Amino acid sequence: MEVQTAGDNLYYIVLIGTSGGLLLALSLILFYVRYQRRFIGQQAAMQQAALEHKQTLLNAVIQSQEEERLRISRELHDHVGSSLAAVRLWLAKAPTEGNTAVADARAGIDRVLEDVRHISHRLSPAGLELWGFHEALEAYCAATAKATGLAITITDDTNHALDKLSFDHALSLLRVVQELVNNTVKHAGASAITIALAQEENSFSLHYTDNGKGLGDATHKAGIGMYNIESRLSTLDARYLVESPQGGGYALRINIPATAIETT
Amino acid sequence: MHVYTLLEFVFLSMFYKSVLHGSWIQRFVHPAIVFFAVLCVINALFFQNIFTYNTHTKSIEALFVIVMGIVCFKRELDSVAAGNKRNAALTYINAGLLIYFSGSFIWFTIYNLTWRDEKLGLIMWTVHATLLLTMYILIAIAVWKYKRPETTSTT
Repeated sequence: MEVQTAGDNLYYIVLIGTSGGLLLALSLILFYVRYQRRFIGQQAAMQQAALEHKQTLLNAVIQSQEEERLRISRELHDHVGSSLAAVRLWLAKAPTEGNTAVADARAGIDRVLEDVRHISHRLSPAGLELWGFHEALEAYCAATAKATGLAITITDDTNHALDKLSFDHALSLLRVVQELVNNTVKHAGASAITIALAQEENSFSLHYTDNGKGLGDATHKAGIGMYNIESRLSTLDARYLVESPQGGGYALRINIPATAIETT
Repeated sequence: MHVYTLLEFVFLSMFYKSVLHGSWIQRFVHPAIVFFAVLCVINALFFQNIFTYNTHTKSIEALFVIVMGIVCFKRELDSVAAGNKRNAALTYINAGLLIYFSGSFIWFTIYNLTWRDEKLGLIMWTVHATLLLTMYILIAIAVWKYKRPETTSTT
């Protein structure tokens, strides 16, 4: 009888001991996993908040930059342009016979007036607010083609859907195109640019290509220009991909989510 | 089994030493190995000869692994709280070791009192094998997790 009791106790001790040990280990693991997830969740929330704060700051910087550009553009157009136009009128009254200096001055003022008008339009695309993205893009490309001699082709398969972008979003996209065209003019040595707008399932794409020397073997270095492009595109939640087309040149594909239009 | 226990202890000690780098507990790993080796020899010579199951040293080893496992978890929590990425593979390995050694601790301790009871022995060896299998499965998951390459996306 005593042996049987001892045996029962032994079973009991082994069972309790093993279960207790296991339970402790499992509790510890559960405690660890739970706290780890909580820490990770808190960190993710903090990172998200920091990202949103950064985006807000970025938007504020871009907005103030655009406001300043608009102000300078108006100053140039309203004051400098008007003053030059007045001087041009005075000179028109001056006799030009035998006086080449007056003719040269008129021609010079005409050039300056044209330059001021270009600079003013570049600083604040006048057509954007009135007619939308496509008209502004076409106007900008036409002016650039005229000034640089580049052949710029725009194809649009979106039925002008990007005209529905808000002014800020449309301006951001136009600034990106301006930055890309500037890069082509300054560095690529290209003779032609193609800008293709297309509608996809849940997004719109802008495919920019030039026939210049491309990036070559040089590593893609994120300069101020690319930083500007990234900053502008982030306001649209858009993504971009730099491509290396066969046969050289430079290509960049921008993907704009449909929500960028729907939420405007 | 005596030699196996010593080698297992050395291997596990070195494992914890490598994952707990920079921790104060690292300083005690080498002395612990020497101490445990001496203990194994004394146990084999005077208490449990090499033909007996070495429950004393096995229990001490289990205690050591449990303590190291807890320290390892605490350190991992501190590391994640400090903003470092979590080490999923280490979590699985540590969990496997903790489950096996915590569950088997009482069995190691009182094995010599129970080995005559065949029925209890059968039950406990089955439990022991299950715990061992659990540990191996968790270690296998850890190896699988560790080898999976990370994917990154760019804007």
